[in-house]
Amino acid sequence: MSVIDVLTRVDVICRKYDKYEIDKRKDLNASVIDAFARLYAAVEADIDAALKKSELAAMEKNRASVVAMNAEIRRTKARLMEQVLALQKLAVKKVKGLTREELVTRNDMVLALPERIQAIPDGTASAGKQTGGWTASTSHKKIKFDSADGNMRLEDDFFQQTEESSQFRQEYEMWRMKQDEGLHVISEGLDTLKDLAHDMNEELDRQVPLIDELDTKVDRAASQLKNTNVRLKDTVNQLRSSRNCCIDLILLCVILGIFSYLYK
Amino acid sequence: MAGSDPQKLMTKADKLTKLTLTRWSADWRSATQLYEQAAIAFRLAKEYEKAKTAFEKASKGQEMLSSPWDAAKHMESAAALAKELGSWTEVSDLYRRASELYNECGRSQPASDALAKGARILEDAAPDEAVRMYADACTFLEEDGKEQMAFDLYRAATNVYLKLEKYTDAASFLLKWGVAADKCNATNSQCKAYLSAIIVYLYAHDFKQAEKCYNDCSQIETFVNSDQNRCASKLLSAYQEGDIEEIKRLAQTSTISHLDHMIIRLARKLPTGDLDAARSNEANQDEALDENDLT
Repeated sequence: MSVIDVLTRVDVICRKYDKYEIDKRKDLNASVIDAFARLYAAVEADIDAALKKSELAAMEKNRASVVAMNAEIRRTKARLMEQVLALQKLAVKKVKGLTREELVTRNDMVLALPERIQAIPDGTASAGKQTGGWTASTSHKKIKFDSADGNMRLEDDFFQQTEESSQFRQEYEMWRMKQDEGLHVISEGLDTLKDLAHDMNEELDRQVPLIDELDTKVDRAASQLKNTNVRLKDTVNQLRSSRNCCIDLILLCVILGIFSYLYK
Repeated sequence: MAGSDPQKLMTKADKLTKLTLTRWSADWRSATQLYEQAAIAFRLAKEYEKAKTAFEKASKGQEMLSSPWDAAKHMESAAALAKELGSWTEVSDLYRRASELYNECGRSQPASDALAKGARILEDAAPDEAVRMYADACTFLEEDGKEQMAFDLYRAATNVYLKLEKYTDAASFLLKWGVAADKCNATNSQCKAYLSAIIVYLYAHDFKQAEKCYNDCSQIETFVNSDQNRCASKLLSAYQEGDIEEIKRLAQTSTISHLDHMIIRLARKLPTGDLDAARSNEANQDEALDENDLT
């Protein structure tokens, strides 16, 4: 036989026994097997995409876009968690052609998924706190779980603190009462001031027309005085006219003469 | 010597004014002068009766000389001397006459001042007359548009009423005060007057009146926006609930402490008597309404 004949013969045999091939069988039975595999593949793809996005977010400078990306990642994570639940259900289902071991591995794979999903960084607090259950990204269930878990521990600490804190609280209450008293005194004072101010206002309003009247009267009196002064000035000037002065001087000289005559 | 001289002056002046066959017209000018001198001399000698007579005659003289201002002034002096003598009717008459003369001059302020002086003197002796004089004084001022000056008179009149325990009259006077304050935009005094009126009504056990008064006052915007309004509403609601502690606490607040001292005294004495009456009145009212609704 020639080489070509051998090759052709091999091809025919391969085609004949193709249905026994595992990979091809897998593809053939893809639709039968898996809902599970499909979903699993989709979840894995989403996880990868989310990881890539978180890497981008870590490198991003613009805060707003960082925030937006982190929000999207969180949404994706939530969605994936829901899908994980569906996967778990599917994993338990017995499918044709699947061995027992494969069933177990499927379960393990599904169980490993949530951790992988949570491990995707989404910009919230560091992984260390996550175990404490305080981060916002963790579901509420986790928080409750933790506090229920650590209840006993918290109570012990709690008591220790109340002694200090009750003292502090007492002090605080005392200072607050003092402050209230002080404020009360201030408010009383302000009330009195307000009343005084109002009364002063009214008194001033009362005085205004009186002062206006006074103003006019005083103006009138002042003008009258001015007139009188001018007239007085005229009169005095008249009195001091030259003729009268000469007569005064002559009379003075006469009197002086008489005196000197009398006493000489 | 001091006693005779004024007496001589008096007789001389009388002679000048008396109309006889020889004298056809009285010489008021010189007579008035003599009367004035005699009156002053009598006053120095503390002979009040004679001084008063002299002043009256001097005033008449001034009237004849058509100078009502001087006449009024002499009347006032005569009235002051009448006060020394303690003849209250004369005091009131003389002051009224003086204020009439002042009004003749067209000067309302001295007129009301004269009446106020008389009223103050008569507060103890003849309080009704005093209140009448206060009211007239206030009217004179208001006619002349000088309500601001009337506030003191309103206060004094209210005090007299409160002393006489005529609470409704006091409250109505307070409301008149509020009106006067409104005219001259004295909002603080106005609100205080209204609050005082409500307190007076409450003191007189007249819860219905107090409520009516409060409702009337609530129509006035300046009152509604004031501290006094808040205080009044708190007081009335405390009365309705019969909460004695609350009433006592409210009486200590600064709003009430800024009112007139007589009113403060009343407020501190609140609540007087039966809060239950006030409460039961309210309850009865409500019950009556309910029955009506059911039927």
